[in-house]
Amino acid sequence: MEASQEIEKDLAVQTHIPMALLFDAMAPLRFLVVEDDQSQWPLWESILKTTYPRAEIEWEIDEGRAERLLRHAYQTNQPYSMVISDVFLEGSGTGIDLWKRYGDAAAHFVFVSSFSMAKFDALIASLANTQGGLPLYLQKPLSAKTCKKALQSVL
Amino acid sequence: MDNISFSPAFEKFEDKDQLLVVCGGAIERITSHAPSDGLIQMKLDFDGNYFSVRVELISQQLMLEFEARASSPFIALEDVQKASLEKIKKWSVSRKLKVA
Repeated sequence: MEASQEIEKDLAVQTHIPMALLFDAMAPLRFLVVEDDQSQWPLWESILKTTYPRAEIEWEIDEGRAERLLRHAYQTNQPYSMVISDVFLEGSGTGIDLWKRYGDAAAHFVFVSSFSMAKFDALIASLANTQGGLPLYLQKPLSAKTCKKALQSVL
Repeated sequence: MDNISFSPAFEKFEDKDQLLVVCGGAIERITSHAPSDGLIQMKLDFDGNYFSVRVELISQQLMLEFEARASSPFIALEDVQKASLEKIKKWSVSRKLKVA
């Protein structure tokens, strides 16, 4: 191989790998917030946008519609980076139903509720197979600082 | 639905009604894209740890068979649906090319 071809090959490798990494790093993080108390939405928007400036956020208030969004994201290979869900939602389904059914369709799942941590652990252990580990839990009332710290610990 | 069968392991599965609804939706979606003479069967099983969903579609022009396993039957169902729709899409493109 000629020296010029060698240099060209080296340059090609050097430009391709960092570009691919750059695109990965530039890809937006996708969040689905499932919360029927819409007064909580601005707080979550502020937490997510300040922690992850490239965050794309979708909002839902009921479990059935959140399921549809998760299914669509999974089918189109655009899974959510994180789902943040209240336990009790509008309609008949709960956040726990959503996690049991489609928890694996998102990279991370975070529950939010006013239960104590111990009560939440007991509830979820009685309702679901938790062999894969318990999801992250944040107790209401939420503090922006605690939420940011918790989210950054997983994402 | 006659074309969906659950193994006896699903007898105590508390979310079976919702799963049946989602299975029905998946079958509808697959058959709406498949050849019109397609016959579809879906079988669901649970081995104690993992759920498996198997889908078979038979038609004169296209045959497909996919199985997926996951810790949630809903996820396994999404996987077989995705694989089935991808294969049907490829068949659909090749059919259009032949016609052209």
